[in-house]
Amino acid sequence: MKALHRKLLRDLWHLKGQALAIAVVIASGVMTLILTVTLVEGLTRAQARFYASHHFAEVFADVKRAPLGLVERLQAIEGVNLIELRVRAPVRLAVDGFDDPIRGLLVSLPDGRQPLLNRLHLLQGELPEAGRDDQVVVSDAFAGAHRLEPGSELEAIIDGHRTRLRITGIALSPEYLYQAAPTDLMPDYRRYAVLWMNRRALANAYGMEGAFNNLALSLQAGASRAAVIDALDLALARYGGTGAQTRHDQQSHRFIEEELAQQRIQATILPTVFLTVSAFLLNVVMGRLIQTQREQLAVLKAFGYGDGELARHYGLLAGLIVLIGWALGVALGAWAADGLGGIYRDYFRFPALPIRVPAWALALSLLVAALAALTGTGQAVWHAVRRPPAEAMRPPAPHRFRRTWLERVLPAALLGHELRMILRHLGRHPAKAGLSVFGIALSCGLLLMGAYQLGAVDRMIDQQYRRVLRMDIEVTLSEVTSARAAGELRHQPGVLAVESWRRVPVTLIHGHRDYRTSLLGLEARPHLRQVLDADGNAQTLPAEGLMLTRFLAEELDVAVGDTLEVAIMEGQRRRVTLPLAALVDEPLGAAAICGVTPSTP
Amino acid sequence: MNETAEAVFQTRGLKRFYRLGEVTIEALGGVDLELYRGELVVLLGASGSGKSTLLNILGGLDSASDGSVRYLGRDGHGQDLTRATRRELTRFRRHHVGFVFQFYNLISSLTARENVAIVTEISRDPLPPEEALARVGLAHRLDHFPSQLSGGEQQRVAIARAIAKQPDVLLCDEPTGALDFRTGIRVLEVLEAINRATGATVAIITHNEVIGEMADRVVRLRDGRVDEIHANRRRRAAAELRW
Ligand SMILES: Nc1ncnc2c1ncn2[C@@H]1O[C@H](COP(=O)(O)OP(=O)(O)OP(=O)(O)O)[C@@H](O)[C@H]1O
Ligand SMILES: [Mg+2]
Repeated sequence: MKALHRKLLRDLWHLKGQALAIAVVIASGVMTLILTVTLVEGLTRAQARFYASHHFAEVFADVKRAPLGLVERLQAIEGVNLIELRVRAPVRLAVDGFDDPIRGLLVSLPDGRQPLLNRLHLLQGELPEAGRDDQVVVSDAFAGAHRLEPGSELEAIIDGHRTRLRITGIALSPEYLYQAAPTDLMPDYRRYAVLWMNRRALANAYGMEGAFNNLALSLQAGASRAAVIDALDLALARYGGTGAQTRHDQQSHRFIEEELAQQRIQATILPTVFLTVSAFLLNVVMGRLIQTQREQLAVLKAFGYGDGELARHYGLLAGLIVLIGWALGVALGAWAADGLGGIYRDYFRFPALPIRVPAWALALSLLVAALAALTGTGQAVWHAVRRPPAEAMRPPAPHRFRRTWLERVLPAALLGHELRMILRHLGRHPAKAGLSVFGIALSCGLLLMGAYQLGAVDRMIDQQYRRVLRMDIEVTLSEVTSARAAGELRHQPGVLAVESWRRVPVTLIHGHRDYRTSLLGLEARPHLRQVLDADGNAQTLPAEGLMLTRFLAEELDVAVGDTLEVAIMEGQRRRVTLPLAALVDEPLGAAAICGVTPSTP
Repeated sequence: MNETAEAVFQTRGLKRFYRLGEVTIEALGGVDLELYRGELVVLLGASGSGKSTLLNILGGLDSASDGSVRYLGRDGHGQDLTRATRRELTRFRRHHVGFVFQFYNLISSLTARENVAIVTEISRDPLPPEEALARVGLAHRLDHFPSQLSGGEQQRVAIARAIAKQPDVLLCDEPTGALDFRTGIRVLEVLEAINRATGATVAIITHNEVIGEMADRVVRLRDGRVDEIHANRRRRAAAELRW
């Protein structure tokens, strides 16, 4: 081995404390990069694979009730590939030993076989036998929450009729990866279930013989989504269609996409912060280190080592430290991704979540770490190497200090000698001092970011459940019911107050933007479902016009006073034009709100 | 000394300024000097008179502000150091010059042998490190680190390092400055032997007038100029020096 290389290794060993400190900083940056990238990549691939292998549909539509015979007309729509007509029905369930009510959604399966679209991934058991009306497959999250197995039984109320259902299988569906009841903020696997049942059995139980109330379809390659949706809406309008949706508006898909988008943002922000800090630390520490080697550097130059050779030598020193840090970071990142992958597996419920560090992430992290090291050390090395050896060999001249402007501004009596020394030290390297401040700011930012997320969620939950939704019990009725029902509820023992509202699916249109949501018709001065303004005070509903959440108003680019078009997606499917009367400040949801009178169809 | 001898170095009007803020310090104020092949020269002068500055410029460690330095190698290779690029200066130092510094400047993470090897590895026709160390009487301390050697031993390693590449010129800046009398004499004996054996030109900076007696010529600097050059009729052996 060359003496210069031997020197490198011995120097590294001698500096092991410092080197390790730098390596750990680099490792933390690389680790966050590897961790986030691996998870995002794993999740994206798991999602894509599951969607493809189980034929996740691309367009979904609800109708009130349409005849099965309509399929030919639907199939004729240009761009449509496969169609699956289904019955979906709300269900109440009871599980032995669990006292709370359980809500569920029953989805039909073609008798005794897998559907063409949204196929089930059976984890246990099998599909219901053809012709059986008492067998169901249940979602695995629900089964897991109640320790249900094939063979377990459930009590169910479908359309008011009580039956017993026997579980034949436990499954995952690409359509219900994320399972939360429509009114819930978070999944509650114990109180919400998705179940699959033979089509004929469900149709009989739900009064849908020969009919369907939901469809899923896939598109031919190159088909225009918008055109298909328009044609579908047209075909389904007279059967009470509420408007076809793409995956983009499908609850489960949308949730996962948003989660992935968040992961992607984290995959850029966190490693950037960590690696910026490590570049800065590298700069400081390598600068010091090279300072201590100044004399040796000069000797090597005196004996004829060239600038390039020496720059390479010290570059290699930094490079080795980076390499150690990188390897450590990759190992930690892979380990953490594996651990976190377990948590994500439970959360996202993909049948398989392969955690494999992508090769490009390895290369990228190495490149980024090397760049950080280069910006960190390049300057220090270059300065040291460019010095004439004679100069480098004499003891360093005393630093040049200057009186800082602060000293000139502040009265002398205020400044002790210590403070003066501190100020002059800072003033000597303003850029370095500035970077230190910046680095500390970044790390404080990191801490705050973590604390902020917790605080933000707390605040949102507080706002939503203490200030906005103040009811103890919310009752959702499957049909529009007269206000008398509210009067009946008010007379139930223990009930203090009852407030009723109407929820109507609408599409809000402003210019070329539109947004599908539901319109809430509330009482003029709601107490149990408050409408807050920016200061958190309850508002009285305007006599005229709509209220939108701030988020929704921004999405639609409307300001108070503008008018928007409201397409009501049920009943006679009227279109009305309403002014935006006020904004609502709610942390969750994208509701449109109006007084109960003006827009009730 | 032979008057027709070849000049290894020839400086004309050599100047070196240092600019410190508004003040300009003149370290060398126009030096005209020749160093001849094979001679042993001692440079004397008060502190701050410019000895180190001159030696550094001759050795290509520093560059002049004005004037010229011509170098003529044994291989007939001649060059104007004041016009040389960084790369040429590096090559010049690598192949032609050996340095010995007052504070040894060994690399503390390398053994004696490795300290020599780090230089021979980049030279054209070096002595094996073991032989260079044997010449300074350190054949038995090859694998010791600088921290395990005495000051005199360290200085001899430094000399071994300087001579291992068989340089044309050996420039020594106060090689005995940090040593006691007995060790100083040993180091001077080594330099003398090298000068005789290899015919290398040796320049020694010192504050010690006595050392001048072992030189072919003594050059005295004052305030950045050559004050006096004195040629000894006879060189005294280093072993005979007393102070
Ligand atoms: N890098 C430098 N910056 C500023 N001034 C310098 C520098 N190097 C040398 N000088 C000045 O140049 C002059 C000559 O210095 P030099 O080191 O050559 O003296 P010297 O004869 O070797 O002294 P000594 O016997 O103390 O080593 C001195 O006044 C010194 O202060
Ligand atoms: Mg000196």
